Amino acid sequence: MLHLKPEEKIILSIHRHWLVIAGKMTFIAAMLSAAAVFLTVVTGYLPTYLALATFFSAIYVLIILLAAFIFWVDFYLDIWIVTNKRIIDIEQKGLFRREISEFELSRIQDITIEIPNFTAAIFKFGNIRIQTAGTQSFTIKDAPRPEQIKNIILECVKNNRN
Amino acid sequence: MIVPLIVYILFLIFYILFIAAIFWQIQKYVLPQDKYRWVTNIFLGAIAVFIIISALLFFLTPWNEIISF
Repeated sequence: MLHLKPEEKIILSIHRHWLVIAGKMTFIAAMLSAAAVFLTVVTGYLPTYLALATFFSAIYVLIILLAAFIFWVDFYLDIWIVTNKRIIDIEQKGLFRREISEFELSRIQDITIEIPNFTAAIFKFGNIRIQTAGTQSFTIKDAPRPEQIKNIILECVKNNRN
Repeated sequence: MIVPLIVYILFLIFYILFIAAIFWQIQKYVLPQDKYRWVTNIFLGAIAVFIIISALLFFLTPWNEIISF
């Protein structure tokens, strides 16, 4: 649960780019099509066991749906929140483990954008590294429209200092 | 048929509790104005449909014939 400070408001919430989850969902789709292939084979060669095979295919689909749901939760709950006072980095590690770190906007010293590869350049996503006054630096991985996000954060930092 | 029924019910209980735990986690940590809430609902809808389908298929399967064979 996110608790905002008095007079604090959310400016931006950032999930990873959709391509990150699309790759995993393609794998899920391939696994689901395996069930269809299995049923087709059983219908042709073992018609006696069709009812049993159909039942186990439904159970298989339920398990694959659970895996897809877990992938989705991992993607969905990984989030960076930019408020007018701070940046909060919520990282979902596994299903029920979370790591939350935050820093004040006034501590930001430098923001670097990295477009790591050709795919990132085509689909317009990248990593945003934020250097703070301490030794720690934060990285927003696979952020969509990194240039735009960087400008919004810099604008927030400027407003925060005034 | 009693053994497959017990196994199937245990599977469903474990499965539904697991989904409920994930859903509770989402409800607790998601931002109120998040625009991707509908995706979670689609997952839950699909899972509910397949649970019903699997229950129907379970009762359509001739377990006694299969076990005796």
